[in-house]
Amino acid sequence: MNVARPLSFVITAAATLCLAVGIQGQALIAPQRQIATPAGAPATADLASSPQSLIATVFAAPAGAFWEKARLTRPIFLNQLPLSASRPIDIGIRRELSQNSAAAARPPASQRDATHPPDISQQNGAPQVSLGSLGFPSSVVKGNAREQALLDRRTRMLQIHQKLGLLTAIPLAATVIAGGFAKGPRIPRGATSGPAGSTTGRNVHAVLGTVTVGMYLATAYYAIRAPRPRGVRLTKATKWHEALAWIHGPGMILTPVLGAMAYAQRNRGERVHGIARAHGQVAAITLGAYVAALLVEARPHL
Amino acid sequence: MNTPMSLVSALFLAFLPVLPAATQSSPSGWALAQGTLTYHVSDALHAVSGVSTAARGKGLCGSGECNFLVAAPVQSFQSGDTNRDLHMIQAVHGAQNSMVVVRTELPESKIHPGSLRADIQVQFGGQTHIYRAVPFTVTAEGKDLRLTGTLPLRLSDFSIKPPQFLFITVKNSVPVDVDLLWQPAL
Repeated sequence: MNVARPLSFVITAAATLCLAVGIQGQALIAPQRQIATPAGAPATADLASSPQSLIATVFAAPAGAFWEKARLTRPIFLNQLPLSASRPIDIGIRRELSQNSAAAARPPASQRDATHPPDISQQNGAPQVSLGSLGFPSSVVKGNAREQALLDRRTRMLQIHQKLGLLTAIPLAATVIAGGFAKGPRIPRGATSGPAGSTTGRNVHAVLGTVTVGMYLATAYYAIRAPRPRGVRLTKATKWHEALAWIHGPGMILTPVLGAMAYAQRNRGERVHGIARAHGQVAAITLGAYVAALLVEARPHL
Repeated sequence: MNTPMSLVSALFLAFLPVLPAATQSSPSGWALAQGTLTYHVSDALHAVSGVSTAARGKGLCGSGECNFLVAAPVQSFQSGDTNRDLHMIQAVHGAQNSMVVVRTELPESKIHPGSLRADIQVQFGGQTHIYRAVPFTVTAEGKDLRLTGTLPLRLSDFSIKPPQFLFITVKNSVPVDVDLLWQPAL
C-alpha cells in the first residue's frame, strides 16, 4: 500500500511529462529511425514495432526531441551534408519538419481535385521514401564527372570515325573509277615497254588515292584512339567490322606502295611488272573489305 | 481498491503517448521484389530495346496515402550491344547522373488489382519531369501485386539531345515499359 502510492505518483508524473513533449518527440524520432533504417531492411520495421522499443521510444522522446531541436537550430552547410546513405538524418529530419507543415496545409487525398493532380513531391501524410534507403552502393548512386568526360570523348571520336569513314568512301570510289584511265596506251603482247602516254589519268588516280589514304588513316586514328572502357563486349557486327580492318588496313598501305611502283614503271614506258602488278588486285580486295566493314555496321537492326 | 485503480490509471497515462504512434504512424509498406524496366528507342533504320532488372523500390504508406520510389542505375540498362549502351549512357549523361528515379504517390485505397492512373515523377539525366495520369494495370499474384504499364518518356523532357548520325536522328519518344512486382512489407 505504502509503496504503490508513491509509485503511482512517479508514474503519473512521468506520464504527464511525456504527454507534454512525447508526441512531438514521436514526430521527430520515429521518422529519423525510419530514415536511418539500414539498407535492405524493410522500411516499416521501425523500432515502434515491439512493446519494449515502444516504451524506450516514448521515454527517449523528450530528450531526443530536445537535442534534435537544438541541433536543427544550427546552420547546416550543404558541403557538410553526408553524401552516403548511411547518415541521412540531418536531411531527413529537416525534410520531415518541412513536410509536416506542408502536409498540414494540404487537404487529404480524397478531397483533392482530381483534375489538378499534385506534384509528386511526396509531401503527404505518408513517410517519404529516400533513395538512400534502397541500398544502392554509394559508388553507383554518386555520379562520376570524369567518367562522363571519358564517355563524351569516346562518343565524339567514334562519331568522327563514322563520318570520316563514310566520307572516305567518296574518294575511294573516285580512285577506283580514275584507275580505269591510269593505265595509258596498251602495250603489245610480248613487249616489255611501250608509249608512256598521257600522265593525266595516272596523276588524277594518284592524287585521289593519296586523298583516300589520308582520310582512311584519319578515320583509323579516331577508332584506335577512342577510349575503350573496361568490360566492353563487342557485338558480332562490330567484331566483323574490326576483323575486316585487318584486311583493308594493310591493303590501304600496300595499295599505294604498289601504285607508286606501277606509276613509276608506267611513266618510264615500261609494262607494269613485278610485285607492282598486284596493285589492282590488292586494291580490289581492300575496296571489298572496306565496303563490307561499312555495311556490317550500317545494316538495319530491325 | 483505490490504490490498484490509481495504479491502473497511472499506467494508462504512462502509455497514452504511445497510442497515437500505435494507431496513426504505424506505416504499412511495399517492397519491390522484382522490377524490369525496358526502354524502346528507334530511328528510321533501327529499333532497339534496353532492359534493366536492377531496379529497386519501396513504398511507404500512412495517413491514407502511399509514397513510392523506384530507382535503377542508368548503367544497368543493357541492349545487347555494349557500344550502344555506352553511347546511351553518354547521351543521357548517365555517368554523371547515374540513377533514374521514379516517384509517385497514390491513395492507399487505389492500390488493388485493376487499373489505375498515376502521376509519375521521373528524375533522369539531371532533369525532372512529371507525367500525368499514366495508366497502369495492377494484377494480384498471391499477396503480391504486379504493376505493368508504359511511361511515355520523351528525350526532350529531360533536355537530352537525340543522338543522330548524318541525317538519321533517334526519335524523341522513348517509351519505357514497367513491370514491377510489389510485396507487402509490414
